[in-house]
Amino acid sequence: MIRRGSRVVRAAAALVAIFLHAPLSGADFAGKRVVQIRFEPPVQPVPTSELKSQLPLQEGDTFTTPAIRRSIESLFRTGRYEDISVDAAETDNEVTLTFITVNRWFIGAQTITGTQEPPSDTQLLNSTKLSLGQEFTESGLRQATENMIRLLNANGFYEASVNTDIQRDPHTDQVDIHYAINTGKRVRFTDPVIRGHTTLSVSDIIRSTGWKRFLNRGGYRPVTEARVQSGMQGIRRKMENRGLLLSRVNLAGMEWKQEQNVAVPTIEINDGSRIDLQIDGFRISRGTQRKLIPVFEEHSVDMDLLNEGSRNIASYLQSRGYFDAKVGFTTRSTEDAEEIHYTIDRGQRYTLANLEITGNQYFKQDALRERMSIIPATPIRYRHGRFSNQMLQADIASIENLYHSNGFLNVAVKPALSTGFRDKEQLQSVSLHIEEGHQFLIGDVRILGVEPETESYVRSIMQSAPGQPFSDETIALDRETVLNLFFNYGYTNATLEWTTERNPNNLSIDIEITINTGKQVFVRQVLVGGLQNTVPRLVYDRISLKPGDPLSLGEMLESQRRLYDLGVFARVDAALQNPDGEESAKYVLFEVEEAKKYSYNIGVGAQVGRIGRGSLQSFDSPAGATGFSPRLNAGITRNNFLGLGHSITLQGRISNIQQRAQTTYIAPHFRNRDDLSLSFSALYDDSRDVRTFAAKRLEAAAQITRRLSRANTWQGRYILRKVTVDPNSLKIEPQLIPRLAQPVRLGIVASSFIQDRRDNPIESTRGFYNSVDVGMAIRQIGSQSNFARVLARNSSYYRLTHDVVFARSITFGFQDRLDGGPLSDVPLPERFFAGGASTHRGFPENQAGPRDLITGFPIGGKSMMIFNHEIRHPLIGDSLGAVLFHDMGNVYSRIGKMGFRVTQRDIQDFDYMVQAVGIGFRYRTPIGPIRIDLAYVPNSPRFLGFEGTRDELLFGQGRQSVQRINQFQFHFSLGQAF
Amino acid sequence: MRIFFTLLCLAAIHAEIIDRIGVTVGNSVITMSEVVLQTRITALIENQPLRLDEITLRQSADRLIEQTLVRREMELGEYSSPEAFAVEPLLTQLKQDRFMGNAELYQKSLRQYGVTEDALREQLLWQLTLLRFIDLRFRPGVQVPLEDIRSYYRDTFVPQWQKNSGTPPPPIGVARERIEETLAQQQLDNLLDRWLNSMRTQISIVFRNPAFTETAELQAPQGATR
Repeated sequence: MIRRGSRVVRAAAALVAIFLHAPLSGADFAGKRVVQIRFEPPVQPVPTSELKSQLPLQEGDTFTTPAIRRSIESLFRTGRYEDISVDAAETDNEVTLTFITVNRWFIGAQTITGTQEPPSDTQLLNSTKLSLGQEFTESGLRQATENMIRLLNANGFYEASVNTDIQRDPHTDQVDIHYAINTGKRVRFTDPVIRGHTTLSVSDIIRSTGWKRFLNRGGYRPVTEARVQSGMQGIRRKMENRGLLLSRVNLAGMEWKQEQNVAVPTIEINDGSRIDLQIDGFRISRGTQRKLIPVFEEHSVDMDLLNEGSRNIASYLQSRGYFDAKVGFTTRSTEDAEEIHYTIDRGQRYTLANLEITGNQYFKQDALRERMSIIPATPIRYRHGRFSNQMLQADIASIENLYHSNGFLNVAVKPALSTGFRDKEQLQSVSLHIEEGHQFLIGDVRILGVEPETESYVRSIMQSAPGQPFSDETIALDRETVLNLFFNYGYTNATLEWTTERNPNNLSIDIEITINTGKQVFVRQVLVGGLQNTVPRLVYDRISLKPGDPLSLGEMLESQRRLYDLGVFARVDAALQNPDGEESAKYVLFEVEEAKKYSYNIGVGAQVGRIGRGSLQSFDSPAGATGFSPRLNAGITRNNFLGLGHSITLQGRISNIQQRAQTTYIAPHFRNRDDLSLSFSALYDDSRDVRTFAAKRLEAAAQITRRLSRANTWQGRYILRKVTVDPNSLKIEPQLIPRLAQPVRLGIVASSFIQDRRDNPIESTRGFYNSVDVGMAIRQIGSQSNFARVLARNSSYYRLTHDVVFARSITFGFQDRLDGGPLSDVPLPERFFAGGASTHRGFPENQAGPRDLITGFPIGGKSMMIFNHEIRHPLIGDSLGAVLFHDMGNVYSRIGKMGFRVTQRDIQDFDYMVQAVGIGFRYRTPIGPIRIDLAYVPNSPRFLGFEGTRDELLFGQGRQSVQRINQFQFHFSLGQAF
Repeated sequence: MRIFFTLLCLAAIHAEIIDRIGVTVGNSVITMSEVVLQTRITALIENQPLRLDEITLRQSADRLIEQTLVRREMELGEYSSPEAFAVEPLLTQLKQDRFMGNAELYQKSLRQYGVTEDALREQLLWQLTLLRFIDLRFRPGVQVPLEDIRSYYRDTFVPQWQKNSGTPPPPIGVARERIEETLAQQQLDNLLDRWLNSMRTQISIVFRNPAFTETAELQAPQGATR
């Protein structure tokens, strides 16, 4: 029975197999009605209704094989399926179709542990080549881990292993990948194996790699990819320095010796022929030769490179005024060298004295010259002018482009170069004659493919409009603008094409624009990954895209920017899941990497100027003496405190004139508003930045800042401060010491408004800057001294010519005692002190204003008014500039004493306007200009100084002498004065 | 017996896989029904017995991949395609060459290979399209240097002529045009191959191996036609 039963089963199985193994063809169902379409599994990554609507074959349609193919294609285009097959069943001459699908997975968060830098986590993750939102495959993951191992090996981790752990989320079809890395020990370099033919000794080679420690202390360094590369570069440099430009230096391999834990580099070096480069006729520095002659960079010699070098040298000479320069070269091969001989006939040195532009009607000369790199000679900056044929051709192209973009399609710019300008042979003149031709205007603009309402909006954002100059560039810009508009409304596949047609009158051009918006795509869900400590709400509140919104690429980028602005993430990736898939709603993915919790800074610097604590007993140099103050700064910041994006910073500074410690708590997005920030700070400061006294300051402050607009900011703050003046440091009349030296507690409420419309805060050339700060210290808020204070500044900047800027500024302040306080006057440290590189350059640092009548040391004032004026202009080339400046003003004893009087009435009069004129030099650097200012002060204050010791002062001894603030002042600083 | 009837019932209500993905080319798919059809048409045109084994199916899939890549490029580059009527002379030629103009024989052959006339027309139209694409895309870059013509005449043309006809070969001036076209065709083939290879590296092409294995097994009973 068993045997018979088995045969039955086998027979039945065969029967089933015959049915199941019917040929893969829908021919049997052709022409039959499709009664039902189903999906298996029933839960699909795209809603079934949407899937069905996308199918070319609908329920009720007649079955055809091509329709099945197109249906598979259509489903596959959604991007959400790994595999699709179609199953058909027939009942009562009707067909039921089942689409059997296998979902596709997508890459989500990628995390990594166990690394040792280098390589960094970011380098390792980049090496995987797996991008957020892209399709996940097992083969891709294998490749990713192989890439990681390769990178780890390159960095000396030959025992490294990578284990992956993947977490699949069936709700989002996303795969999170964790890479657990076990790096093992990093190997060290060891003596390399040298192959090839080289005259370099092994020790020279090793030395030039830098792989050994300095003076060979500790032997070879650990292997890193950067060290390997820099080692090879080192050898190449060495070869270049020996004239072996054709040498070949390659790393043939790194062999790992497990027992010794070292990697043996095998280096192939072939010297090749030596290059003997000789340049006759003009002296060109070695560095410039390297820039001009591509043989150095390409490590190869051929006629193309030599010709290019020849052209570059000619152009270089032209730019230096040798417009007729001729450059030729010869080459000769010897047994061990290639001799290259450039011969330069530099000809006469010319000066481009004149640049003339004629024929221009539509554009003024200034508008054209602004775009030109050719510059006629100027006395200092461009002594021979700036000219070369390359520059001329570039300028012609630039002018023609300008005309083209304004409808002058047939413009021609004809250059002419002549010598003998003003009957002087060495003076050259360049004239450009512009034949503008006809200006083509836009006739009609037709927009097709969008609704009338949309069309009118599209028109409103386009620059191409009837009557406007026609230009292809403008249409291209409009295309970008319009497409961005559609992209930001979820039409991610929108296209725009245009055609043009000249009108019969040949004076205007019609434009026809066809927009194909494609399907609108929406946000399905926003997924954020990588949050460890950050509160999710902080992130989600900054992502403006919500489920159901049109998928705006602009909003995605804006959200990414806002997340970066939080300052708590080292990396924010934004991507779409399944970016190429054709589905109506997509997941928007943000993957973040939180920045390190703690950041540190340390700095060493020095201040040179009229500073210096000097002896407490000494009353010398009340007007300041040159001093040197080294300083040390250090700070630590705890970022993203409580996961709220807040930070706590502790910053300290130690120098011989200041000891300072400050801790600050900043809540940058207070009440979840990007425009509000709240900060609390506590400060201890023991400093002597004013020469008259040393003061200790203990301060606690709370400040709220609101950014009203891009340019306008408001701040409100409360400060509780205790200032203690060291009575022994006071260099003032002894009778005043009890009044000015007592500790004072101040409670101050203050408010500031800042308006900044400068084009560049570091190097302003236009715009203005206004600030007003109003503060009040009163008893009701804990103050022992009642006074009010206002400080305002207004600066503005004007471009006089293309590169000459006029800048002006006025600073005005006053303060006064209010009735009711226990103290009879404004405490000394709260008074205005001014003078120095950034206020009034006619004074040393903080030396302006009233002075002690006995000792001559500055005691500050209760009002101040300072005007600064500058003309900033380039001097030599583009990096060195000069400034002519005029500063006037002073710190006054009180507001009623302010005025424009410029003469000092007597040596006890300090309430007059001190004038300073001078010149300055600015050297442009990436962090702002380095500044030197030299001022002459015709009416610098005279005053009575004291010669003697503190004891002599107390006992009425010593002697007074008339002194004067030096009429010449020198300031060295960084950044413009204002 | 119960098992037998159960399995019989299962078999009776079975559903069959009528099509599935064979290869994905970027965002496009080539289904197995297309692969099978391509195999049938190729066998018909080339007058070869119909073989539906895995190797043949993969060869057909390769041709379809090329088709997909070329069509993609044509769409991107807005190349024009030949009109449908351009197929007629080719079809007439095929009928004449393969079936001596015998319509009955032609129809019988179509049935035998499982190919419809529309499908055959489409295939011929594709071949015309490909030729046009090659001409437009690569012909401008083809140059046949005189030296190459001379070498070909000397090393290939003359020996072949002598071997085939035994008569003295025509002078190079007479044969030049023919040689030039031959060399140009060789260059075009090379250029097309290089372009296809480069496209294959730029776009993700994934074969669904089980689909080929299982389809070959399913089609095995149809094995050889003729």
